[in-house]
Amino acid sequence: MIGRALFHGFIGLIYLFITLPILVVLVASVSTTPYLVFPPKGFTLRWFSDITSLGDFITAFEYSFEVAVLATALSMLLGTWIALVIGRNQFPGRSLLMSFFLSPIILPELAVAVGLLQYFSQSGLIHGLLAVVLAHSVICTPYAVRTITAATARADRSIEDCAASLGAAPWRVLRDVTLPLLKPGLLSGAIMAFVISFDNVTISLFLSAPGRITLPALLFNQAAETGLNTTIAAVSALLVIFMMGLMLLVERAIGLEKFFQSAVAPSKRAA
Amino acid sequence: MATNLVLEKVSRGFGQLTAVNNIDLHVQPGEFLALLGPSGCGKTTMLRLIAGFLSPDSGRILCDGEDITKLPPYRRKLGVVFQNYALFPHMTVLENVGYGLKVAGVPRVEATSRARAALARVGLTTQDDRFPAQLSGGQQQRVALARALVIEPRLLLLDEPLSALDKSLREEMQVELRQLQQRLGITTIFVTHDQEEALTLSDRVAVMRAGRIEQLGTPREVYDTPVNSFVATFLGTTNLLDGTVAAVADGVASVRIANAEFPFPAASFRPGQAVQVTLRPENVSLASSGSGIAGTISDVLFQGHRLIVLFEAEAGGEWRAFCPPNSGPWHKGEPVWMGWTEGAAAIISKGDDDA
Repeated sequence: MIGRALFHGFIGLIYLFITLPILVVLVASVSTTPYLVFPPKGFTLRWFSDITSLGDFITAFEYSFEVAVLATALSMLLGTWIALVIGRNQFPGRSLLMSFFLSPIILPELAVAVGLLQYFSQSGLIHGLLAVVLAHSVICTPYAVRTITAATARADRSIEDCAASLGAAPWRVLRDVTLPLLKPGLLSGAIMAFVISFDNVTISLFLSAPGRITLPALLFNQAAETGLNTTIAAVSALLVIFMMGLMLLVERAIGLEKFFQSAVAPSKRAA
Repeated sequence: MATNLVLEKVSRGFGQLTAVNNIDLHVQPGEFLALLGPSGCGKTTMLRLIAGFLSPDSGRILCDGEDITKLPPYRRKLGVVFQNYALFPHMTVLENVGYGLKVAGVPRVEATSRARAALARVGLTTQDDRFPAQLSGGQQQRVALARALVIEPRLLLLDEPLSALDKSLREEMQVELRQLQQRLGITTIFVTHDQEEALTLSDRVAVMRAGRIEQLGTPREVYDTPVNSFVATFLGTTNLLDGTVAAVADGVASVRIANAEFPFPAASFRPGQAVQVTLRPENVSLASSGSGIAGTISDVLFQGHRLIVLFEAEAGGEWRAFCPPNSGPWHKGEPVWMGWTEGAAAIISKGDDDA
């Protein structure tokens, strides 16, 4: 009993240690001082209202969002294809190919960034938004592949076989059966990809064109130039809240989906 | 009206393993055929080959004379029911059943009424808007069956469709399935490892082992006159008695087993040949005096509806007899003579079986 309590206490401490910096940022963002202190001195929401006057942050947020949405879409397309075509078929060199597509997870991001920068600038055709989206897709796709592959492994192939035997051509089986069955996996894959892209600093720093920069890269630059100020904390706090809100929304969506299938179904869904 | 199916020298391997080995099979129109065997015998692979989920390495599959070997599953028009039912979890009962009609482009109103009719045919009329997860196993089974039948398939392929149900429901569904199949007259191929189910349901049984059909015949044929000890033992309990052909005359082989000789109608044996005889325990007759194989009762087990009497022959060998519960009484250690009425046991020549 005591051993168990100790163990749980230890786990709790580790959790606290990991989440504490986020709490610090949230709490410190209301300090009246222009520089970051903890515990905060006084209480003000001045820094939050300041953000709206700093157009740079708004632009950067919009840019980050745009990049993350596009990179997520591209990664999901690629990831689904890889998971279904390579993950589900047996052929020589399959595992090698799979490792290749998963390799960006273990490769240093810096190497990926430098390599892509070199490649893009030499080709001359890929720059600006396209370059950032493609680069983000390179690091987001493996996460999409992982989650979707896990979902396809759980999915029952005989359900798809049944659809085929009922006369559904392969594309129809994919649309009507496979993708709906994979929906939870696709959704979590998309969340992963979005978060990885939205959070990324290294690649964005390397590939951002002047004047068009993602929010994390902008924050990094500002912190490097002027040191940590409370505005940065306020922006970070908003980011944390934004991400949490997004998760809640998705959780709600998935939760509702499950509810939909287990509860008594509304009759309007009948064929 | 009903479809016939022909398999010609069909083989399919997985790596080193030959799952289906050079099989020839003719399924008659309207026939209910069971593919019976232990797991790994190739019965499910055979069904998947017929359905088109797998393609054979060699051989041809013909449906009413049409070569369907290269046809993808969605062009074969075969109804398939899997062991786990494989219902679409994100569709309602009615959507599940109507799916095959929807992809075929049947107008919605007609599709709905045909789906309802198919559900009525399997005795499920009040669950239209439910999702599969909300149904019992038996109800899911019916939905799967209705979904397969609604497209008016050329063949019905069933892969252990009843094995996930509990015993009493399974027996009920066996009868229903058989009646439905008879009423529709649809050619049906049924994969099972349950010998009783195969015997109950089918017109013919193909007993399979290691990718081959060991014996193909009516339930009575495979049960009463198995071709080898594998078929004999797989289809229920049996006693295998070793004997020697003592004499052959006028198409009757006289076989010596232990201390007694028994006549068998078999012409193709020669004197001196070692043979094996399969004798079902329910066909054994025990007598406290007289002729037959002499021995003693080594134990008597009461099972309610019958007695299992274990018999030990003087010349060696222990066999069992199923007796009515009020027969006897039999006592442990009592000397008895074992025999059977003519025709109740069958010869399996030794050497044609490697089990």
